[in-house]
Amino acid sequence: MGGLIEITLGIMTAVGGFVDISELVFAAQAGSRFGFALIWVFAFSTIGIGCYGEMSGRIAAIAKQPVFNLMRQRLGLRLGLVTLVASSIVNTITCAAEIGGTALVLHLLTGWPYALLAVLSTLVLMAIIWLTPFKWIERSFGLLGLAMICFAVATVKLAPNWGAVAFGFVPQIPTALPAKDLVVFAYFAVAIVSAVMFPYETYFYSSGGIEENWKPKDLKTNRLTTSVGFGLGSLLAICIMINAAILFRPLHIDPQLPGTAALEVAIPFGKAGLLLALFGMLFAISGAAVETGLSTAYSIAQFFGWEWGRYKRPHEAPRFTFAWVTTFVIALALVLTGIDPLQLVEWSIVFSVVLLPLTYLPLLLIGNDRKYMGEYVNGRLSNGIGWFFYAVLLVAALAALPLYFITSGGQT
Amino acid sequence: MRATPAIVLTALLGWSPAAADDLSDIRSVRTLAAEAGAVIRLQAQHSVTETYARTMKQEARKQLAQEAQDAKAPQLRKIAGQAISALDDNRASALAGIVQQLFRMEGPHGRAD
Repeated sequence: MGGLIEITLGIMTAVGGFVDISELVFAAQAGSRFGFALIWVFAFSTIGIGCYGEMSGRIAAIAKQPVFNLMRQRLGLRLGLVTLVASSIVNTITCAAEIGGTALVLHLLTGWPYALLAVLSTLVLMAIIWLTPFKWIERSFGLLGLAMICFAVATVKLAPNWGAVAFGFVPQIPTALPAKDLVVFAYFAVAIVSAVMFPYETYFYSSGGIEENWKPKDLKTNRLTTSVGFGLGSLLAICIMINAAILFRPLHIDPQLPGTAALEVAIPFGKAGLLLALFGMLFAISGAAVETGLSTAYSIAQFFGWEWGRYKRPHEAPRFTFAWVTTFVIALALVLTGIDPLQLVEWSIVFSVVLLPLTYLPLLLIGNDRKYMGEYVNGRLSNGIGWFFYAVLLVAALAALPLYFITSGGQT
Repeated sequence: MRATPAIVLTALLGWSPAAADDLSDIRSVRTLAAEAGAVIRLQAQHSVTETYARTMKQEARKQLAQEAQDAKAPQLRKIAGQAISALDDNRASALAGIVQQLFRMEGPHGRAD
């Protein structure tokens, strides 16, 4: 019974924690711009993050190796260090975007000044990390983020053409679009792959596995969390896209204001729907802020072999503590410069995709290494999917920056 | 529903940064006006909270003012100014008219449904 509760909680946490500000922004924009035509990219990328998430959890349970420890071993000191610096920058920008998003949602709820809310929310998030055990941090944000299910309920209420939705799951490129819009379509496809497969998610997930001292008996929970949990979380993002296609597209809205996504629930359900949507967004986005802040500290501490982990008291892992506190301070400073959080989201998405191949290569290599993994080495399916997605990520990484500049971040 | 890489390559090679900037400006003003119009309509129907409506309109106004200042095309600067006036007066129908005008201005660059 206890095991079942644990699995259910793990899945629910994964669902509630799947959507962050980048998925919210890109799903709504993609739906309003291209209808259902990009649904398959979300579904496709979810298979990728499910595969790599499962691999990273299995490696954490069996080899007890976090991602950045593997990176130094497998990529070498120089390339590992380049990856560390780049990922720390991207994680910090992402953390800033999530803090900015949290402040914006609170601004929409309270009307208080945005800068004040950014400072207050950063302080509250830091206090939560300081005072709360890892499991509670992960679970509380994930479970409260389940309020995002209201977007799925809105989809049902809006009654889309389910046949057309189902067709959206079939890989397609809408050639009826003008050629230049096809380039924007390609940009959105790459951005969605990046948003779903954000590197910080793997860093956080595998570090969490080590924090919670996963063992071989936890592999079932790991498999279910990364398949069912991530799959249902991805469905939520797809619902946001479907709602945008139904509600925003006819009005010629390509959401530029972060609060616009909440209208997807306000239109069918009124004020109650709006408040529920904002509540869900608040916890989904602030949960991601915590994950990105901690991921930076995990990465740095693991790479240099410092004491790390939220299972230790802050003074027992002082350099780790200093790293996450510094990440939050720099992220807050970025927000207070007045940069639009959506601009930060775009930067983090584009630079993340460039990093993805470096993040996932060590996982593939260790997952295949019998010396570390013994009987739990990657199977044929895991390897096949892993290497296939690795090739996809290489192409996406090469295409990301040119597409970003050519399309002015999808605005043309 | 299949596109060849050649189509994408043609689109990439035929890209004009200046035209892309203009189109980007038009799209920004169009969607901000559309978002503001939607909020005004929902506010009138009491479907959103007053705080939400006020802050969304403030943000839309701020970004429209930025577009009115930064847009390269004088006509677009003027339209952005008109959108701000319509927003200040809570005229959703005027905003809808502006959105349609801008959508037409996007011309062959616009979305194909």
